[in-house]
Amino acid sequence: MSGHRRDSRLAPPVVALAVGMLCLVLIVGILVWFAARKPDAREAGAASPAGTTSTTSGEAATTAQSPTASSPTSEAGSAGTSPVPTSQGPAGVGRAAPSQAQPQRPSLVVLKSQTTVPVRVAHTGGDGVLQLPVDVRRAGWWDGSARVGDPLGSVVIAAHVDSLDQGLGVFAELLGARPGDRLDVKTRSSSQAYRVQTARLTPKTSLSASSPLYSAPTQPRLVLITCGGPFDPARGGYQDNFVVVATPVGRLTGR
Amino acid sequence: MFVPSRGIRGGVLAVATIFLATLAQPPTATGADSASSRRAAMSQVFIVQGVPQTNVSVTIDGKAVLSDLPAKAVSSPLALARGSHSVTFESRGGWKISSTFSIKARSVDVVLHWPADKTDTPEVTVYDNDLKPLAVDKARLSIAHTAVVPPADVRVDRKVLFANIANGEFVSADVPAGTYSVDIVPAGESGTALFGPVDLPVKANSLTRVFAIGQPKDNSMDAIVQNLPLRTTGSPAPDSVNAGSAGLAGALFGWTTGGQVNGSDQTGPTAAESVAGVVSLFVLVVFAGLMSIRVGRRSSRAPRGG
Repeated sequence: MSGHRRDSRLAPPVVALAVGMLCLVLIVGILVWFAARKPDAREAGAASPAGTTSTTSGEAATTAQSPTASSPTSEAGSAGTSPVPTSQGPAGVGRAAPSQAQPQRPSLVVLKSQTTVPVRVAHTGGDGVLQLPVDVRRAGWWDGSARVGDPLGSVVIAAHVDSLDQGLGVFAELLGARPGDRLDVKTRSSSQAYRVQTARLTPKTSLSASSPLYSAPTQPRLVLITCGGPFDPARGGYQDNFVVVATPVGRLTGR
Repeated sequence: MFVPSRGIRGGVLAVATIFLATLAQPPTATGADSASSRRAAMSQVFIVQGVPQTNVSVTIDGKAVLSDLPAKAVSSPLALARGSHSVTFESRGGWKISSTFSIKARSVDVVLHWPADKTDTPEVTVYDNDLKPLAVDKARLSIAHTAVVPPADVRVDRKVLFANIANGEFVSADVPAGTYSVDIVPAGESGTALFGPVDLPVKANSLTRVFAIGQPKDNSMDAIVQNLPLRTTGSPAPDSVNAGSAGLAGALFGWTTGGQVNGSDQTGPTAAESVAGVVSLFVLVVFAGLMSIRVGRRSSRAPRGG
């Protein structure tokens, strides 16, 4: 109000503007207030599907409960036996058992030669091809596969065996892997040793999305993939994948 | 342009204050923003009846919400605000227990169950539901111990998956979806199962919660299974892994162009091949190094990894 009186000393257009704005704001305010009341009313009526369930069952409860509520007391009263056991106090809070694993994605593979290979996250592209790091010194962890520390499932890591401009990649060493070889996979804060079970060529066509290699419902394992086999430039280069499957040895340890 | 006078500034301030005050008037539901913040303040609460052979009535914050909830039942979700609440469970002709609990998570299970050593009255444990996004096509399995048994191991196909879980505790893991043969044995023992084995379907893209309930003494051991959908992250399994483009590996193990070696059944190179491989690997590394220097100098375009 005092603001309005002060405004009146100013030029008329400014006053008109100020009054206009004030009116606009008031109208908007009232509209907003009304708009706000409606959802309130709606929520009070419906609250949520859950809320409705609870009120209806609550009504059922009151009707059904009257005998329920009276029977224990009358029983206790008439029989004169021990009173209804009661207890009060805070509810327990469900805790994770100490054995709860804290899985993490792999960040480093240590090959048999002690070559360390940094591991990046690799996504399956829309064309179904796993997008590996271009750098042949790095590997990619398929982001739909298991993490290190998951009790079941395949940890899937792949890297280029070679490239025209960079030569052989670090995973070329895998082509010489033998059952029994040791590999280590490290995460940000943990380390897991693995022992190679199988190392073999498989036709690229067999490594489709439905391959059992990608899902291991009975055990945890490490699956390392690169390329190998006959190289036919006319047919897309390498005809096979070279796949190393390893299983964990011992427990997950701190890094 | 023009310097606003004190009067106009005062007016604008007043207007802004009124505007803000109007907005703040009903602080809860002035549009989508605050509606979602209100939703965030509410949690979905499931009541889980883990006491065998009895029906219970449930009162929350003094209001009757469920009656005659049978054993093994999981209620439809109730919407409760975050913070403290009280709950009373009453069994017909049995016991009456009242507990206070606090909701912090978006989704919780309020579980009525017997403690490890059965007493007069059951107890209440509140478990948060882990609704964090899950890798696509995987399944999250969480198993809680709410039974009248000592600490136990959960086994899958007779191998320990989760070790040493005590009453009131749980263990969870993201696993491949599928049907698992699950049993529960006393921790560290492999003898008679306390429960199972049972076939447990664990569905993809969802949280499967299992509550082990009851007691072996009266054969009331059982499992309550609850399933909640989850959002997913990560990418689906690849259809192909193209991990090489130069053909350098072929020279290592005699894989020649034209595929005279059908590698599909080959189970790795022989010892002789390995020796030859190591030697040629060395030669190739040197060769490839030289090549890459030359290629680098020519600054030819990097071909796509094929």
